[in-house]
Amino acid sequence: MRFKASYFNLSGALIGENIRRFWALSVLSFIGYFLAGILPIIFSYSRLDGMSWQIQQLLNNQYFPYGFLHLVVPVVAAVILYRYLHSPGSVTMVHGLPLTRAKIFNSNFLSGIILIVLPLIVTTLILLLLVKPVFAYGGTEDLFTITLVLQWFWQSLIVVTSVYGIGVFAGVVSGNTALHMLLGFGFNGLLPALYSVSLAYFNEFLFGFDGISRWFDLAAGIMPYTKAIQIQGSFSLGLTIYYIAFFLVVLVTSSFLYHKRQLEKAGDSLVFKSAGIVICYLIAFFGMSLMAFYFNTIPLIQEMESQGHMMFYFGLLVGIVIFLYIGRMIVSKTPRVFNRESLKHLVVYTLVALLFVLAIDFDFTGFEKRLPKISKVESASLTDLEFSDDYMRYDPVFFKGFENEETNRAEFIFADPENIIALTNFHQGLLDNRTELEKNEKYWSSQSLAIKYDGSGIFDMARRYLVPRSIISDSKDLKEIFESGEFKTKYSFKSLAVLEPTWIRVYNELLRNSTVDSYGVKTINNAKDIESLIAAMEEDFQKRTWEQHMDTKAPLASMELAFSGIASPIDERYGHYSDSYYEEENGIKTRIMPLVIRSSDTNTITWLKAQGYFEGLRIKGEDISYITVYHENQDFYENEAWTEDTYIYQEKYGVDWMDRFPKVIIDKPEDIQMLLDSYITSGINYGDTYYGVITFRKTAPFASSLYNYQNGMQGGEDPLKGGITADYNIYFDSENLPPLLEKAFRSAK
Amino acid sequence: MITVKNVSKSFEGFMALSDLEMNVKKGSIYGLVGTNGAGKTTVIKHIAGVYKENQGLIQIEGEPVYDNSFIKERIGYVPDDLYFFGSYSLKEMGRFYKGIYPNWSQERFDAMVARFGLNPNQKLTRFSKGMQKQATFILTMSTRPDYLILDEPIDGLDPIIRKLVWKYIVDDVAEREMTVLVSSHNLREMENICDAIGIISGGKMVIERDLDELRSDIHKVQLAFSDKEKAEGELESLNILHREHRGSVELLIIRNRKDEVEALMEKVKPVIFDMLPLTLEEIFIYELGGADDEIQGIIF
Repeated sequence: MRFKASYFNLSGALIGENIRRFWALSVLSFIGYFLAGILPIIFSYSRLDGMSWQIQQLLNNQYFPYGFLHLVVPVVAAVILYRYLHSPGSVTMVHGLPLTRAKIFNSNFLSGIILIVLPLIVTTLILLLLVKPVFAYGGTEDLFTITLVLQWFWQSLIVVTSVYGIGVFAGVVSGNTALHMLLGFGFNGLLPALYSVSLAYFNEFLFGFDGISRWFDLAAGIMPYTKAIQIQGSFSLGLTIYYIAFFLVVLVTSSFLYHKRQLEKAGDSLVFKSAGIVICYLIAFFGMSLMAFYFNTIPLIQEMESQGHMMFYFGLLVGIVIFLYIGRMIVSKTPRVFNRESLKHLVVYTLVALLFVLAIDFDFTGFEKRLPKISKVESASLTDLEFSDDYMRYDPVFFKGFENEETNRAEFIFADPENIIALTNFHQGLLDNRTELEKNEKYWSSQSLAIKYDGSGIFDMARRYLVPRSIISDSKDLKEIFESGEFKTKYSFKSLAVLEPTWIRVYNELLRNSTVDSYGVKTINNAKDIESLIAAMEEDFQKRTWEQHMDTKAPLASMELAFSGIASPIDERYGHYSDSYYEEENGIKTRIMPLVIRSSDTNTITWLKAQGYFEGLRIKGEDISYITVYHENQDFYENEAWTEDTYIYQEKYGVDWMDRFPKVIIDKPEDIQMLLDSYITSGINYGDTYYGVITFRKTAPFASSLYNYQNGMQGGEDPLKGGITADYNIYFDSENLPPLLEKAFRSAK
Repeated sequence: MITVKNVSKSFEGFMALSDLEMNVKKGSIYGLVGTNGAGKTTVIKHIAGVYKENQGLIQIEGEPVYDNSFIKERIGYVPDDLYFFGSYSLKEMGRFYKGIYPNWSQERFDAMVARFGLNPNQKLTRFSKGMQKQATFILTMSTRPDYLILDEPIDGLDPIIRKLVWKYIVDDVAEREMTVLVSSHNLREMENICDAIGIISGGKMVIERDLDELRSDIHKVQLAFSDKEKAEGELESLNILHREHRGSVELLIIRNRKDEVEALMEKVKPVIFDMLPLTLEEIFIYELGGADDEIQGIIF
């Protein structure tokens, strides 16, 4: 029989009867929307600003009760309208009526749309009546406007009709109501779930696969329901068109299958044989993936450093066997599926599944080794410039030219051809060092680096690698990029979005974190001073080398620049901070850029000394009584005694918990000064660390400000020489241990 | 007229109907008889436009039935497996049917509800099975169908209601030339009502006949002769399907026209000559000319 699509072929009588039968669903749905969303607004109407977050969540479809209703109501509507297909009596009665299949399908479909959309319309009308200005704390954007309400309605309409369409599709392919309900919910998450699980495989096997960040957005975006939960704000025009097209495809497919559906199969699990196979294989796919990833977490042999993917494949095979048979039981509606037919499916599916996994594992598509053709690259980017203590100094919110409004820390995008080449070379170097990267022996200092290439002939050239700090530091290519004109111009103090900071503060990081009054902080308010200091800092930045930038040694001092008038669109919309600090003073919104002063920043240091701001930024050796350096190593924890609770240990052995560790005491002033000049603050291997506890002399000018003095925790007379410990440790590790300490610990053994 | 031509239907490898042929004349009452699982309900659902045949053609007045709303408006179908919208009363179902069927007669509906003594405001799910069947029958008849299809309609009905049901059917056949197709597994039941009978077995039509035609052609006679030898020669000219000796009396089943038989009896002048009525059952037994297990199962 020719399939004729006649979507306007409707039966008013059937639609009317459906509304009469199922109006309660609309009413209950509206009651849900009303009680969960509208009633709280009405109760708090005189002080709605206090509900700004909830209103924002509601109108962005991030509000759980509404999300629940958006999913459950359409699926239930689909189930109740199409359940007549699932029993012989009802399917006979309905199809015995003088209505064509098209009329029956279309009329029931439209009935469902009416039932689920009516409550939305009523809710929208009430919200429109309630609209009034609402602002988040600290925000300036009105969060409760007519436009936002209408956007909410439009987005909700797309969501509920899509969920409903999928629910109807599930009803057409399934043969009983229980499976219809299950598939109605399941199919709505199926594509994102399939996509996400596939991403998990790519992430597991493909070296360089950037699975987490942007691909997840894509996964969520496949279906409007998951996208609505994931994003804040309305769907873009492109997405809207895609969702409407998706809905139409689902509608047409459901209609087509409805015409093909054999009514005599009412009561079977699945009406179409191919649907049965698909469902069975989907169950097997998800089940095998679950087992594979679970087994992958179990070490085959405890001491084995690298077991490859043996356990993964083992779990995969176990999962295939178990879940394929479970799938067969579900679609056949019987536990007796241990027969030749099932064995045939097991063999077929196993081959397909293994092919899928092996294709990824052995990278049949050449994904891992692929580099773009340089001639096609128009721009490239490197994210996560968190290589040093002052990474927040590069927050794009402070600089002109960063257009990406969706993220707080946008990519640093290169357009200079030389930088693109350098980045590509760096990328090639990572591929050449794959073994080292995969071993990830220096995990404590590894950095997650994302590289991306864009160009008209390029598709999906984004990669992410966990790169040891040593490779980053030693990279000639990254050096070239950092020291390039493009980089230095983009992050120049002359490229600030607001050129003049309101004030600048300088301070000793150690004392700032150890004293109750942030001892030693100096503030520069004078505009001329600020200008000349910025000029000095600019000179230092322009001459700074990559090696200086990547130096792990503790900075000389820290600095904060405060800016007023820099608005982040994200902050304005949601009224909360981004990563750069956000301080309100006298009603003026201030954004703070933290920086460090390196020993190589000679211009800045000279300026601070000349202006008298340098005093107190460095701790003098003479203020320190001694430094106790402890050596903590993960290997120590194999000894049971090491793992005992602090207080139990102290009670049992009569010594302080920290005294479990080997320690040395450094008390010569020149040695103390050497330690102060060489401790590190980044790339620390916490698995084998040497940390120094400083005991200040009571005569130190800031002694009385120290937390430990104030709290009396470890203050007062100490057995050795009398002093007060700082609530701040200095660190070394085995890679940069000063010879002095190395010798001292050797002697102490 | 309902025409079923070479219709086959299979369900997952099982052949439910196999090259079935059937013809129901307009204005007649056709009884479709078969054992359980013979295919009666399957063929009826095809004729009602519920199922689609794999092969062959099902037509009413030359029009295919499947997905043909114009034909289906004129079909009234009472299935074996009843279904009503949940929590609906008879009145509410009537309202629904009124909106769907253009020939709906509210007057008839009200009259039949009263006649059958059903409460129109009570939920149909609260009715007994027999009452539900009555309700379905009322709803169907109120659509004033030109073609009435009944799948084992009087199972569970008491004798009085059964009589009422048949009365309505027969009246409509007489008044409006309504065509009726009724299925049953009981040949005896069909005997007094049907104009034609079809026996279906294993998805195939085994035999299909007009009852009048059958009855006019086949007779049961009891004979006794004084001169048996002389009579024997004369009897050879008859088409004797079955012969039985009961002492001096002979019981013959003869397929000849009545006047032919009577004329011969005039000639041989038997001592005893009785022409006895044949049941439908007997007609079919002798028509098939011997013991057929399948048919035995149907008719006994």
